[in-house]
Amino acid sequence: MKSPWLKGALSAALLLGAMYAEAQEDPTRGDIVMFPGPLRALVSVDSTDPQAGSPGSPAGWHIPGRHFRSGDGWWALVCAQQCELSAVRLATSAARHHVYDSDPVPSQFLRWSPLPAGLETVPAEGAKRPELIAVFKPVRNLASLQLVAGPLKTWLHAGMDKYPPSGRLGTMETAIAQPGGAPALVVPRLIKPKGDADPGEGGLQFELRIGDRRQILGSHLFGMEGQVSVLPKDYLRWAGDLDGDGKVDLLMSFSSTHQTLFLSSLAKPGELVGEAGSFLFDDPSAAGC
Amino acid sequence: MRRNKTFGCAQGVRVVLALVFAVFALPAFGAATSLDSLNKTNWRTFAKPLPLGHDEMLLFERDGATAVGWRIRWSQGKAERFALPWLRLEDKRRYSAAATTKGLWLVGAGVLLVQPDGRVLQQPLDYEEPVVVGLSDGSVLVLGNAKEEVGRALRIAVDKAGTRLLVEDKGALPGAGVTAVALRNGSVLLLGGPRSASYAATLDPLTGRVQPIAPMPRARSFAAAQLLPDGRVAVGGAEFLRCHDPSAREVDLYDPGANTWISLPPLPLPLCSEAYGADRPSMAVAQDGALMLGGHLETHLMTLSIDRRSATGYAASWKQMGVLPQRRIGGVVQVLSNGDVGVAGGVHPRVDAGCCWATPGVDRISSSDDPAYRSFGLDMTSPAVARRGQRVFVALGWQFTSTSTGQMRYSSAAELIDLATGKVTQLPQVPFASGAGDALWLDEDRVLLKGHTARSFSGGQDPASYMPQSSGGLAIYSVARGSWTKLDVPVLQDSRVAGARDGRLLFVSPDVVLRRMTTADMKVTELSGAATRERRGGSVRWLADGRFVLAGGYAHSDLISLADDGCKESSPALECRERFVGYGALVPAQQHDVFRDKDLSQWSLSSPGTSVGTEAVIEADGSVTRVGMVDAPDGVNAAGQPLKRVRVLIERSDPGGGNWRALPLPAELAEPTPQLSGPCQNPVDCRLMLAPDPRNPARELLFLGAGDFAGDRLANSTAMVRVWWFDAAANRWHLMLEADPRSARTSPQDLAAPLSDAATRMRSLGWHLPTPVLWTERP
Repeated sequence: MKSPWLKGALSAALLLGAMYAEAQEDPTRGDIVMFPGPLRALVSVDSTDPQAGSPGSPAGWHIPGRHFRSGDGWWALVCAQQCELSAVRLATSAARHHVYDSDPVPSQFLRWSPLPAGLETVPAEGAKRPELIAVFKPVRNLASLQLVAGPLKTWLHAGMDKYPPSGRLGTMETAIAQPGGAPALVVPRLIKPKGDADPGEGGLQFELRIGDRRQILGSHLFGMEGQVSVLPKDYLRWAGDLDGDGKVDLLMSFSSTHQTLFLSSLAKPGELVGEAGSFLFDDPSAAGC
Repeated sequence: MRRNKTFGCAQGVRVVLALVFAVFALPAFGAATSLDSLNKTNWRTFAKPLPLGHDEMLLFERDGATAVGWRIRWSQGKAERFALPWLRLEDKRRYSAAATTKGLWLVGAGVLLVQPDGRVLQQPLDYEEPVVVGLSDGSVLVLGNAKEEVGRALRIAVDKAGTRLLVEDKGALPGAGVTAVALRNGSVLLLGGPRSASYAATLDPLTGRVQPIAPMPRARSFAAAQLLPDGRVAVGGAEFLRCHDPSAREVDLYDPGANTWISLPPLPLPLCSEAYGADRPSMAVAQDGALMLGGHLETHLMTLSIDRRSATGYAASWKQMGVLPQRRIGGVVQVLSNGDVGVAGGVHPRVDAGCCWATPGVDRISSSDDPAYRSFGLDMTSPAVARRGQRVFVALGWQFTSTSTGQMRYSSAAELIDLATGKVTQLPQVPFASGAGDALWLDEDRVLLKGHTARSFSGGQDPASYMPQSSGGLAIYSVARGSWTKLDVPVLQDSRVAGARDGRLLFVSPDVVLRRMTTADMKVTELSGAATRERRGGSVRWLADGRFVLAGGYAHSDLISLADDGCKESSPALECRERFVGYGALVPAQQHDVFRDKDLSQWSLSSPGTSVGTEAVIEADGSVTRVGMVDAPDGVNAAGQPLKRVRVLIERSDPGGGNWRALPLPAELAEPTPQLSGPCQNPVDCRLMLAPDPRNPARELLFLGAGDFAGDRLANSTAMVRVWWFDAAANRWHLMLEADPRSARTSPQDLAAPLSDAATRMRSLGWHLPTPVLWTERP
């Protein structure tokens, strides 16, 4: 590159590109960096591969921005009859992501391997596979979390046909059997709208109850679809013991793109669990309604 | 100025004589024929019928491109055909007719005047069925054009020699939708229109001067209006496509002398004629001044008699009258000399609800025609009905008609049927209108009536989609006083009556909040339950043992704990009792709700039934019987492929709601059928009904009905409805009757054996009701 002007322009463009990529919000929060399952087809704006996205093609997460590096230290939680942890490696590659009302933005393909049962690829239609609950990496304060590959203590997981009923009046509640005690309950509650507002303008609040102790885990407000019944398997993706303290840890899904992992060992005084990490992804290629 | 309430008719007589003279010279051909012979298929017209006085009416038939007239003489029961060879008809173009001392006028794609001496004058014009008003000097005022909101007003006269038409332009005036009435002083009253529906003015047809008058009390377009014998003008109707407006029930009187408006009592049903381009309903006046309304969506007429003691000069309540064999939407009514009513013209829907046929011929309603058991109230869907002994109270209800626009109408009519004599007495109108309601006899004299709103139980068999909050009224009728007392209890607006006992009434809201009212002081107490889930439609019953049961209809798919900001539930002490409410979509309810204990605060759900359906009845012991569909083994279609099939299931719970058992099916319903094509697959097509056994009122009879008991197809439906009775002792169903849907509602139907026998026949009415009306007679 002989022209200093051209060199300068290219450097500026690269710098701007990097800044733009950084401006795309990292969808992960907390001390466990987490991506929920199932993985999705990876297709870039620039993709020329006509097979991209078809069954058998790579699956992962396509995330705007350039926040992640390839490397080890990741774990996959996969459930079939039982749940198992597997050590996996993240591989990243540069891509560009569609934006609904603007130009494409720099992005990354995130792929994890090795995953069992072909979970690294897009499934054929109707294929039965184990459930990938999440891939995650403990970092910062949780970097020392002791995890071991193999079976993981689990009470409920999204790979099950259905969860046992709570035995209470609420028809969408979940009971998590606890050894030697009353079951833990996850109770969706209807947030009463203010005043005379339509009931469809409220939302749902998810409450964890163990004995007479309660903790609100999170909530979501109704969209234009109003009140829609929720299945326990849809809001409680997994209940088990990840941190090894014998108490219930939960992976909650508050919407299709908002999941949070709660660990009992992170509970503050008065709490039953504490937030370890969450994933909140606002797909910029979606119109939003 | 004191209004003259004595209805003089001298001027009316003069006008009638002039009109008879005017058409006398019409060239008749062919022998007079019976009125029945006009009732022919493929009847097409090119102008609305034109009443002449109280005995004659002209009809205008389109025979290809040839215009044919029919002169009806009601007193003779005859019609004479006359030719109008000067009119060459273009397809679908229409004229308006008027008769004056100068002859018969037809104005549209030209002006045609047939003079009394037979001479004919013609003039080109390009109007489409304009408003034409005959003036006292024999000329006509032509207002605009049916297709234009503003048009040129023309006065068309004849020169002195009777050889030439003189057309005077009177300027731009409201066109389509305006109503015009010639007043006694020679001016023309102009009312409403599509663009300025509140328009009210008088026009001097000679000078073209327009003079605003006192504002019309409500906006109207395509209104019906009538000059009364005392010089006042009655006008009714709403704005175009606003039949649901309260104003569609209002009729106002304008007094030109005083330039004031007053309102007549509201109509029991909206005056609505919006269908297939039918422009407006029709109003006529009897020789004594009584008003007659017709040409609307209903098949009956509405009349208001004279009451010289009242402030308006009219009675306090409209009456319904007669039943036309088919609809005459946009038809023309004429009160005949003897008080009978002639009706002609208009359109009616086809059997397939498509547009539309001109209703042929003429109908005559006898003023003395009062057949036994003829109920207007039972003709409605979802009326409120209450029975005490041989007296049946009927009020409210809805009608829906699919025409080129769908029109829902709600009733405020009420009546009493005496089952012993068949006499039906129309009562003063209910002080509110509603498409559905509940009625309850409080004692020998008083009936409580509660209207439903859109929120209250509008699912299932009661699909009235829009009932305003005013529909949820509460009123008591005293038979002895013959009057209504309206009660203002807003908290009960969306509720329905669930039962009465020991001077207490029980009400239930759609979200299943129970409220108790003591009849002595009308004090309302809310009974709080542990759980509530919304329920639309279905049955309610307050049992003798104190339990309250809701079954059938639609209920929320789920129950959810309610997080209430106003209630502190912090750990560890639970300071509030947890409440559960319904959540999610409304789905056919397979479980029934049971409330028990003194304050009905203990709530439980039955075990779920198996079938998917919304029809359920609650028996006296708390047993619930449901009818619905279940999957059946697949069949095979004509191509040899698997065919998804379903079958009817009737199941009955035990009184505690813990267990269900299947009942047998009538043989006609026993076979599995392909999905979406068999009986009972539309929830409203299979109904369960319970009615007290008239031979032993402590016992109830369970009936199953199959067929279309509701809906606007009634008027044209040829499909029969069938009703079976469940003989519990023999554990089988007996077919009791087959009838067309309308007869099953309103005409007494004799039930078959074994409910009827040689000594006693069991008669019935109202098979569209949750509780049909049964009584016995000796043959």
